[in-house]
Amino acid sequence: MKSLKKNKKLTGFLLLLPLTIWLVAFALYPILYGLRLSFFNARINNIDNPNFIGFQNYVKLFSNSEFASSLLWSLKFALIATFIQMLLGILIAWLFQRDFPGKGLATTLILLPMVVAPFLMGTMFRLLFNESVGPIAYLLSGLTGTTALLGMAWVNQTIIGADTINRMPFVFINMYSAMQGVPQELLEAATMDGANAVQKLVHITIPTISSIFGITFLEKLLQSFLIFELISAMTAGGPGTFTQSVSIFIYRRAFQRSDYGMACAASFSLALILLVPSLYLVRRNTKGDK
Amino acid sequence: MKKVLFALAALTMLLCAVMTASAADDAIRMVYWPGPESDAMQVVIDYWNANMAEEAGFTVDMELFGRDNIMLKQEALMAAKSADVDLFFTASRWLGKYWMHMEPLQPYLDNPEVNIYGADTEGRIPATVDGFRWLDGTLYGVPMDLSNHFLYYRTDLIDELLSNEEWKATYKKIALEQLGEELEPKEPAEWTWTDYLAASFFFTKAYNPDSPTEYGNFTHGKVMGPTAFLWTNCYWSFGGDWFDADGKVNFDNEAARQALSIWKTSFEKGLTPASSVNGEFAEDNEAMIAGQVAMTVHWNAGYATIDAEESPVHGKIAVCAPPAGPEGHFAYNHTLGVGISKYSEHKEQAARWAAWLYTDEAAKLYAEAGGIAPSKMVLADMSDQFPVYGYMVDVLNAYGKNLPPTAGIIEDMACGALADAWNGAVDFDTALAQLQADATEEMSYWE
Repeated sequence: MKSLKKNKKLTGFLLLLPLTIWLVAFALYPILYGLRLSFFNARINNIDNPNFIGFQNYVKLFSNSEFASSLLWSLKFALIATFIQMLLGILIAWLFQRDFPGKGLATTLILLPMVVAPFLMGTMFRLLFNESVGPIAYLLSGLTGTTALLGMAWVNQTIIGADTINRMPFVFINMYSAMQGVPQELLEAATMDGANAVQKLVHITIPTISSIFGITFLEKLLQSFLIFELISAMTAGGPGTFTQSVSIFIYRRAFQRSDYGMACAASFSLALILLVPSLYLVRRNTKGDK
Repeated sequence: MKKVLFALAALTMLLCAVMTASAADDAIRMVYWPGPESDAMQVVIDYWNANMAEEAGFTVDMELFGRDNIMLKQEALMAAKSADVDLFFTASRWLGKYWMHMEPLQPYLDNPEVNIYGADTEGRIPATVDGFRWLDGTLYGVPMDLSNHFLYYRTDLIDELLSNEEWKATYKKIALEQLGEELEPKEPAEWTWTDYLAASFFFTKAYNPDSPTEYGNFTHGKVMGPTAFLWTNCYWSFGGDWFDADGKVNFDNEAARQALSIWKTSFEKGLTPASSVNGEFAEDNEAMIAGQVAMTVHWNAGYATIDAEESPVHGKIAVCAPPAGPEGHFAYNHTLGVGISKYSEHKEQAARWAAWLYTDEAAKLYAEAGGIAPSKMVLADMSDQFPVYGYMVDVLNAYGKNLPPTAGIIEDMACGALADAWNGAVDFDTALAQLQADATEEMSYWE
């Protein structure tokens, strides 16, 4: 009996070993190496022998106005984009709860942008929104009054629109599948009691799916806060630093200026900043489940 | 079943051994930049592998790391001291960031056992060779592909402007209204930046409803080093430079304010398409081809696309040096090329290949395949076939200037600050003072 238990333990250990080695080598070690670098002046010219500077990178980072404005831009973008995408995702998922002709095709079309890599999506949007030859820029000009959708006046709205096309399907699919699990008898009972469609959505569907809703909201908020590929392809953070998200700030520090120490300090600061709301929301959702 | 598995394992091991052996053959590996440059380089490599490899004792393979972020990938190899590649791709403006990971080339060129071709640097345009020297004069690479800036303009529109009395009168009136001076239309080669703005106002529909183009010019505004280089033509012409004579950072000055005001006028007054604040090479080509703009300060590489036979503006495009300031005309240029990795395990072979790349034979092959080899003989001989080569020689001989190899260290912060200033997000004084302080601090880490 004992030997069987021992064998089971050993088997479990052996099964976990490859993944553990993988995680240590490709996740834990780089994280710790990055944390170490954040306390060094480490650039491509001294990467062999970086010099220890204590918390200087962190001090400089938090007195850097560019970092502050990129954090603020990311926060604003995350809140607005998440609100729009959650709203649209829920509404479309709700509309798709009933059958209609061509539902399968419509679902596929809505989900299609989600499977396109954001960088590729950004590159396509850069062409589609091109002021001189972009068809979308031309079609929208009736509404916006200009084809310059990547100019100062419209660039933020354009990025939010592009991100919505790319990421809203994620909200839609989560909400759609969660709504499928709402007990029909509850909805039928509400109908019998005279509740209209909106009342059923607000008082039955949304409370029932609140756990999935919370997780989707958190995931979407973090995705939007950390947006990189779409902006990199569409504007590279410009005009100037006008649409520079915090991820673009870190990227430029690390790979345009080769200032690895500062980039690591920014990455760890960002991780700490995001850890607090993430833990709060995870805990709230876990409590909700219980 | 066991036998099958055993046979498969044995076969896999055999294949691995064969692949390892073939990877370890007598080939050197060179990183290059994909696009027309690598198409040209492939022709040179194919020629070498077919005709020269036997005598030299090795073949050459080219590794394409992607046009975007090529240096990011090379930095990873440099930081890891990887021997995976033998020659790095580089550019004159990047040398200051990466020379410490590269091998000095001159000792190899001076060694007849390595440089069996007797090649030297004399055939290349001297400024392009100097672009591959560190500040102490050490040579680190081979200049392979030359880039420079021109003022592009529509000849049909400028000819009309210079001959049509009604257009001339409107031009004078608009110049007086917008710039406070009653200017006469001139040939673009004689333009100052004020003439450039006057012509831009004239060819912008918002100021001249009869303008055949929507906008006067296309001004690159995207946050990237090359955008700052285009502005640098203007900065030089007002007497400024990125570094002063002592090598100190030099942005917070009157010349920078004047040059910024030229750029800002184009964006603020709508003389350039509004999206050009995020525009660069491709968008500029599109705007010119679409007939949306009348002129642009742009890269030489755009000529082949803008004046291509299928282009609606084919035959209506001419180029000259960018407009002049009080210090005259300047035409920015830089050179792409290759240098030997300090971590290569085949340095002598890499140096033999680099030495051959310095020959006119290699330069001619490269140029015939569409590259722009900075060889005096090749550019002169091929200007009938590729007219843009002749224009380059003319403009660069008269007005060519490049940035020092340290420019790459601060190009990202320069383009960010300058772009913020010309699109009006930050005032000139704040942007330039911040750039001066940041760039000075950054340079202190590279001394």
